[in-house]
Amino acid sequence: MRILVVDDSEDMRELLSILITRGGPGFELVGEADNGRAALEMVKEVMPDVVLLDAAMPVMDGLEALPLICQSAPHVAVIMLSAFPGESMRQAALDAGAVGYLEKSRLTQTLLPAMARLLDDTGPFPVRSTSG
Amino acid sequence: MDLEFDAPDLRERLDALSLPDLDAVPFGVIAFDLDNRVVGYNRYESDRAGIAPERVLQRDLFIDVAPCTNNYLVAQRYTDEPHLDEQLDYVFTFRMSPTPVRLRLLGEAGAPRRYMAIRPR
Amino acid sequence: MAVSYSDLLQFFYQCPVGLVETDEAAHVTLVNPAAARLLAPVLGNDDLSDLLPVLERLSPELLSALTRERTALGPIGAGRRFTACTNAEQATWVELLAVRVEPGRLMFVVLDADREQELVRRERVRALEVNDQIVQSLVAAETAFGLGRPDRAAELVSSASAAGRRWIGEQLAQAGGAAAGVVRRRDAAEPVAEAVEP
Repeated sequence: MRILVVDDSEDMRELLSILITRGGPGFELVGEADNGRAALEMVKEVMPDVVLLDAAMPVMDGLEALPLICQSAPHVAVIMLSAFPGESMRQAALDAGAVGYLEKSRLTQTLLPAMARLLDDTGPFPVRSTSG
Repeated sequence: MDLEFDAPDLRERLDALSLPDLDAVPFGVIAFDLDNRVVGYNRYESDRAGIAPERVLQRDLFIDVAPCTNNYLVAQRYTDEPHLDEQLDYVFTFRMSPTPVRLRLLGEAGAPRRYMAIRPR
Repeated sequence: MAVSYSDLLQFFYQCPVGLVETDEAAHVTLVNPAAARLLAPVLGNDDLSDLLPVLERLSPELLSALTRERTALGPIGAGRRFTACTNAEQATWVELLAVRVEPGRLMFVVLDADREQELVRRERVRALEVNDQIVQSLVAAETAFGLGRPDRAAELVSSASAAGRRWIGEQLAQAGGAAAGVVRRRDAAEPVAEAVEP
């Protein structure tokens, strides 16, 4: 599974890359971007299977970039990441085409299982029920 | 003078008049330049407001003459809209009494004169 | 120095603060240009001869204070400024104060509150940005802990702490120096009381 990480925090991108590496050989980090607009370009360039997209970023935030990514690359599964809890943001992300919404504070427990479910291809939107 | 407040070509027809000729217009007309300085204040408006033209000519329209219009509804539109021809109901404060009026705001980018036409409601 | 009635009217006319005088039924007897300018966005088809429909739309709170204190002389609502939005799209705000000058005669003061509201908005945005900065670092620290990287987590916690301290420093400086008494420790769940104008 080819993964693109999009987050304006360099620390977070670094930690996500470590986390992805720990997922094993099935997970490959293929690129990083620090805002939604750069992510749009990267998606076209590296053709990932999954985009881990931060919700709040400068230049273009995740919620703005999400429908554009889904439009330009319908095959890509986008998982929205946010530091803020909030049912309305979660719902907005899912409505805009994200396959999942994960709170950043629990990523070490939730991210790899969510991506494993995507890899298993157990359904059209296997991560959608994940609210943690 | 046969000139109506609602005339579609009101701005062009006011432009064709000399400033003294504005006195013949049968509703209030204030002409002002690009710095908002009043250059024409016609007789109708002068009689209705009870203000002699000498007191307002060369004064800033939105600061000294009609400060009640110094907001986004009126003054800002002359700045923002290159082809301005808009009517709106407004309230003036002649002699400190609320006075309902109908305004027509007229301005064209590049034209030296802009107009505020005023008709009682 | 003797001040004539016409001098007072001239002051009333030129005053940059909006002033509206009404009778007890809110019929307008005097209004100055600043008031007409500030209230214009909420007038609609009204002609400002009657302030009642304007108050109903703008500040039902002030209207009920007037009704409650129907005989009291002096400032209504203990002189409170009633903040009201005149146009949400343009973000225009006014503050209203009412004074019963004598029985049957009310004076309304209308203040341009755009600047104050803009400052409040900027303060809130700045507070949110700093809070976000702190949360981002703490969330990254949690992730680092989860990955078994305590050193990295400690660095991130320090970074969050530094952002928080900088913010508090800025706030204390604005409050007039190291006024430690300004800061009150409270339970995180305890709401901060809404500021009320004296």
